[in-house]
Amino acid sequence: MATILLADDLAFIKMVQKEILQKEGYDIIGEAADGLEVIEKYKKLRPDVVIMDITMPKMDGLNALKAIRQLDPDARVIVCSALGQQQLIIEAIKIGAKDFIVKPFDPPRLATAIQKALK
Amino acid sequence: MEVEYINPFIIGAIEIFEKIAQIELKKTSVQVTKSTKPANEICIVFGVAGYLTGQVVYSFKNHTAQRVVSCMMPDSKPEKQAEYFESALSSLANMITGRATILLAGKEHIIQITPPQINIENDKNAAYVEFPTINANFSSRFGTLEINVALRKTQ
Repeated sequence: MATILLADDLAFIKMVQKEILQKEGYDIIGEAADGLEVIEKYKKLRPDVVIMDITMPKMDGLNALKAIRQLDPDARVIVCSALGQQQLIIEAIKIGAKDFIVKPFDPPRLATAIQKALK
Repeated sequence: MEVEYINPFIIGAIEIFEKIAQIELKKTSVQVTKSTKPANEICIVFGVAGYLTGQVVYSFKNHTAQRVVSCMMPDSKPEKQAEYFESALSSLANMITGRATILLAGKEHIIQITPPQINIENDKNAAYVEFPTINANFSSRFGTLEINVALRKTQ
């Protein structure tokens, strides 16, 4: 069973993601509410996939993504943000995001992104 | 403040309310005001930076906000709806702002927003900008939504 770390400052979003992913059989092993916390939790938990927002306190998701990819060049991070601007999507993919999901998303979109990232 | 900056927020609010809460919003008025100070007691504030600079403020009356959250979490018990009340409203406003920035940024620019700050009971200490603002009002079966948008191109 693949392990997932969720990072979003909004508890409602993490609750929705968690419900969707648990139904799909994924193991949610950790949650973070800001960019620094997600880096710390990544070091400790080494999840198979991270699902991460961009707009977060302390450190934004793109800088957290850079830091995680420096720690682990094979890290699988999916960005999930309401900020679906073309330039931001390009930047996230350049830094190493496996996918970019724009909120609001349909549940199958999230599940498909994880399946793709795990291949 | 360019008048056309309000349209992406109007489009975003109508789309996101329908998708996330199955609530039909109708635009009732659009006017120019002097500040983003909201009319209602519950408000969610976003700072904007990047290609555009400024502030966006969403506000609801308390009973409207309660009903919106119950529509966002129809299968949850009232205790769980209460637990996620602030976060659910912030998420809704975040998605509207996000949708608007996609339209405002176009293909070349980047617009960043701050994490949402929610103020309950119209916090007198909250910092609202004194800058020409477009005020858009909407009606729904549960009450009204107000969006105040004060944006300008970054120098």
